[in-house]
Amino acid sequence: MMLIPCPWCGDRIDAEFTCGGEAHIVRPDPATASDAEWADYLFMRENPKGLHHERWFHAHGCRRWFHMTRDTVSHRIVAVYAITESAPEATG
Amino acid sequence: MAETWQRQSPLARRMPLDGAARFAMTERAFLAKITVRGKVTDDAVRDALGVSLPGEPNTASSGEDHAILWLGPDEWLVVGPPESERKLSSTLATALPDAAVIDVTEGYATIRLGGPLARDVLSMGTPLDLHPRQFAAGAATRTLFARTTIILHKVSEDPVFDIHVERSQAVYLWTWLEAASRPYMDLNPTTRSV
Amino acid sequence: MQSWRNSTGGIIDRSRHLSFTFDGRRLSGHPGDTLASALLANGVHLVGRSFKYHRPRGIVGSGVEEPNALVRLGEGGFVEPNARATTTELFDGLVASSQNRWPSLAFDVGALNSVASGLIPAGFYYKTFMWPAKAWTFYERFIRRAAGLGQAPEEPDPDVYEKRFAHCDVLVVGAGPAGLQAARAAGRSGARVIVADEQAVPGGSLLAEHVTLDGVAGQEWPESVSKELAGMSDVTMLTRTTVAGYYNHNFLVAVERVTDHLPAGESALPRQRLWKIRARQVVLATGAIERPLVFPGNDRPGVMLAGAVRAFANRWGVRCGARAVVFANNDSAYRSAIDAADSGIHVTTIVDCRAEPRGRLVEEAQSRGIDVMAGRVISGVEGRKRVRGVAISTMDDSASAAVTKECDLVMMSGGWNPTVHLASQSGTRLAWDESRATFIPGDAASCQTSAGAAAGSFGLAQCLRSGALAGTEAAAQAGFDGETPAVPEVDGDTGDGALDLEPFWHRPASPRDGKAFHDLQNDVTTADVALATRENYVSVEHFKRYTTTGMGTDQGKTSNVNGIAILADHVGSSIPGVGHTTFRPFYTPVSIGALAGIDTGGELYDPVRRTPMHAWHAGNGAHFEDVGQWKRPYCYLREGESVDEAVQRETLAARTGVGILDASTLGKIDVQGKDAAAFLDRIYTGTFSTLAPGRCRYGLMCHDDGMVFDDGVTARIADNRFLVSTTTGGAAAVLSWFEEWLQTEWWDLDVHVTSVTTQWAAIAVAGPKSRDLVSGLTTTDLSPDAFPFMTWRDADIAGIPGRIFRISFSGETGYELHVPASYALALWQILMMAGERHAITPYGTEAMHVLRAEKGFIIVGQDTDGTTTPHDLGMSWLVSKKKPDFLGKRGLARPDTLREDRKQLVGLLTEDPREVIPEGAHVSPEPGAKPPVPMEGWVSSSYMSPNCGHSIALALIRRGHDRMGESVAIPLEERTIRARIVKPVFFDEEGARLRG
Repeated sequence: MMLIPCPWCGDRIDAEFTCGGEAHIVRPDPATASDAEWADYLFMRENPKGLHHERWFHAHGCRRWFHMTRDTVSHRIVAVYAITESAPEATG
Repeated sequence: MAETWQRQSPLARRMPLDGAARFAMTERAFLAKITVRGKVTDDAVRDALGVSLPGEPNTASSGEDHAILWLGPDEWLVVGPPESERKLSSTLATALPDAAVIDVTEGYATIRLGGPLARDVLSMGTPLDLHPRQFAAGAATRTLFARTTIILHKVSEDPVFDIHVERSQAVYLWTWLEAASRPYMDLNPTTRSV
Repeated sequence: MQSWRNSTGGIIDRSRHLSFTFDGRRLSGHPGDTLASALLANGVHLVGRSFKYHRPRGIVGSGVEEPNALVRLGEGGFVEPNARATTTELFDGLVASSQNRWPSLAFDVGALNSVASGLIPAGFYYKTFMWPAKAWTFYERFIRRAAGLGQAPEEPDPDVYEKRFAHCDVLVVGAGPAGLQAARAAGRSGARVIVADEQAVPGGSLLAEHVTLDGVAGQEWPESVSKELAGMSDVTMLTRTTVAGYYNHNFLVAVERVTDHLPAGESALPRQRLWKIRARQVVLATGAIERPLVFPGNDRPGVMLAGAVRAFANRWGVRCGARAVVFANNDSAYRSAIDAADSGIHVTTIVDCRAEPRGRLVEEAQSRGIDVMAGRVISGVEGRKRVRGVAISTMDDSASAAVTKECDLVMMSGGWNPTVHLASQSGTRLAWDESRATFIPGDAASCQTSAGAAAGSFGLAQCLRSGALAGTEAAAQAGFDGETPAVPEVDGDTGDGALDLEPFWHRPASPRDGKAFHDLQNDVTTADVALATRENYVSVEHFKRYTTTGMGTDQGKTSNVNGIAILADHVGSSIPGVGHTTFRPFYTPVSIGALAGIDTGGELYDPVRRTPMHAWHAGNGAHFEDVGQWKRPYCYLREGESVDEAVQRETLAARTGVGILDASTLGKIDVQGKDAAAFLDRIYTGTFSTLAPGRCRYGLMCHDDGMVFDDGVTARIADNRFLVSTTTGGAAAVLSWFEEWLQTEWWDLDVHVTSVTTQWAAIAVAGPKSRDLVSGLTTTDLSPDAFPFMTWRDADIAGIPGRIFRISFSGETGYELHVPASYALALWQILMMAGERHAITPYGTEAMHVLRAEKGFIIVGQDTDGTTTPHDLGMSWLVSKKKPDFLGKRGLARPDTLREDRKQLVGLLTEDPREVIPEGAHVSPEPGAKPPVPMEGWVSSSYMSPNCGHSIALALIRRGHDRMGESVAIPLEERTIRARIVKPVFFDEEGARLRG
């Protein structure tokens, strides 16, 4: 029931979006990544209590991906930023 | 070119709902619908169609024959008169060499809603805020409706709405709207727009 | 005869009579009545039996807090169980009956539970689970029969329900004095306002007050405010609407009872409307609920909340008894006593546990001849189906000192609890307020404030002021500035709401005192609290569940604070020390119908997707199956034919003559841009940049872990344009997968993807006669040299502009014809006519499955399960070794995906060729192996093949590729099937037909 501020469409109900999970996971170079590094990339995710940088997709709207920093306890949305941007510092 | 009699629109078997005083619903069959994706300049579009690109997200621009709906930062739906899709796609493809131009005429059905209860009936299915302050004439967006996705375009403040829905779900949407409006069609409606 | 109704007073229409029945007895009331007020006007107090002990129970409250008076309403499909009599509006013809009794309310066999109550203590169910081990199976039969409150209706619900989204700047919950002021303030600012109140008319507590506001009677003032609100275009007043849930980001759910107050069938409008409201700001003006006192016998019919007795007198002109004793620990009960006395009830005594009650209210009560007994408590109640009298003793118990007073009504008041449910649901923490001995909302967790009694302001003037301020502030926060409305001058208010309360929670009782209930609905007593404490269920959440305190349909509105206080006493802690349990939605029960809305039944439960040829299928014997949301013909039944027979006939026809299949549901994605080929090279395990325009190639897509997730044929339309086909079920996921990579990782690529699944309808034509059939409809040269396998052409097909693809999922010579969807039905019919001379056979999905299984073609999701790699499928030839990277490449090199004992796709031939293995069956190595039999794999596809003349199966079996010829066993419940591992291709292994 969250109200998510899509960077393009403004506030929309969360049902219009899909959550792409943890943001800023770097795909290692497949030519040099060790098995452990590759497994880490594929399977391991943070599950913090508190601020979390996430990827969201406005699937039933403008169909754009974007980043969002959300408090996983209160659902307070702290920041929304472009999918090409890195996490804003203050929201660490 | 094939004969027109061979064509069947998605809602050809549905009777329009003519409750103009309350709620009206009819199919707009065979409208040309072209998806445009990519790099598009306003000048090129205006030269080709005589209509500017919509300036803001979630809005549409309209000319005599064409409407252009903003659907995403690199996505527009161009709607034109029935049977014009071949000409329209080639016009657009020529005018917009850096964009992808895809004919989706047949992929979508279009339903026109009108009447004083149109907003109420829509609010039964969409989480979008349809208050005229929030969704004025010329507003257009993709959104949820009941259990499907629609493209909603508010054509005028009367109000008149056009809904573009994926073809295979047109009957579902039509049936849903018909059921939602049914309690209000045969009596003096007491309903509220919120 | 409404012999307990006064001739004047209240806001009911005495000129009209409404007839209703209770347990078959015909009674009458007036418009404005609730079922409870009408029953009491007729002298009916006994309305039900309790949940556990089946004790006789009467009406306790006058509103939503009612724990006892739950009745069954209506008949047949219209039945609603557990309706509160106190909130059920009376209408002509209403049918109500009591619950939890058999054979009758007056004589109830279940009341034996009361005699045997020592055998069903708190935690009874848990104990039957725990020990002795066999006991549960014995108890279960009895418990299941006795369990539950009321009875669910047995017929389908004939009513219509509606759901609606709504948006506002300010949502005001509750239209009592505080809520109306808040609405007025917010409305005047120009904000979009929704006011929701659960009662039929706004006013809340004012409807039960004798006061004037600015000279207007308190019972009429709300009407004047709602008139003002009705004149504001952006203010919506929702009456009969309970805000039942408060969710994230100010999303609230409310239920409007649109026609519940009307006889069934009188209105075409929906019975109930579920509002899903997004509010920028919320003002909670939800009022307060009076707290019962806990004393032995406090559940007897005739023991009521003091404020409820007052409300029945003032609002409905009903006397709840002839002779009353009041039991109180605070001043508000005196006002109730005074109004009760003024309504004609003989209030003899106020038993006040405070040592020295004093003040204007006390004097006023005494001036009416009411005896105030200070420092005393009620220690017992006489009477079973109705109070006959009470025993009054000192606080420190001495039974010998008890006096008895005759009465038929006990009015109790243990103070007031602000209705904090919604505030708590929103995440706002509650704080214990010592002076008022109650929980009040702390700092709001969201854009929300509590106002009036809900915030602990119990005086009327304070409520009016607090509401006005809250409304002004909420509007301002939402961006609408306005002036705070003036607070009306209140005349007749009896104070500032200070209760001068001295907590009284319970008095340690001895067993001879009888049961003292803190939770009436769930039959929980002080003895249960003591037991829970002895058994160490001392955390408030454990205590709640062990004793079931607050777990009834009333959500503990009258019981929670008392329960917590008694627990605190037993564990030697304070109330804030014990804390409270979490309030959860819904505030009051919400019918399943309202939650479902019109999304029920075959057509509206979920979208049903149909192809353009659906009507033809339906008219020609199609037996449909659901494939995702799509309806696809499984087969076409001929007269007298079984499903199996139809499938066999269709499968055979496609290899001997010509068959046609509606393949329109397959996903189609237009991929365009100058990097389109590079993009597909990264997406697919194979290479597409080398594909020439006009040609097609089959490909597998993997996730980055190397597991297959979709497959299909892709055609190169032009240098910069491809048409990707996907599985029917995978279409949306593949499109999103493309967008995800393009937007989140590969934004340097110039590629755009667009679904054209429903733009194009597709008809697969398969079989030896297919070329003959199609060539008659097009000028395109279909000869094998001019139009070889795995190519496509733009074509005119029977005058329709379309595309012909020389591809096949059946392994036959075949074509896929794509035409714009609106022409598809016409083309289908043209093909049927043109194919008559070849005995053309439309075939369904099952024949398609058999045909492809004969060839060993996989179906993703059936022959793969998300842990299957291309190598496991024996499709290594589709995995590029040259490309430096593609999705899944590195995943395929992980040690686990390189394991040699992975499950691999093989064919199975049964020993008995007529035996068809059930799909999903497990495969084990040795027939007759001792349990636990090792699981070697499972059967993914299995059919009777008419073209092979025997059954065929595909299976994923450990190390399967190395085990050709080996025998395996498929153990079933009743028998074991023996089979041999073979290559997964059963027909035309060389593919001569495909290319021919």
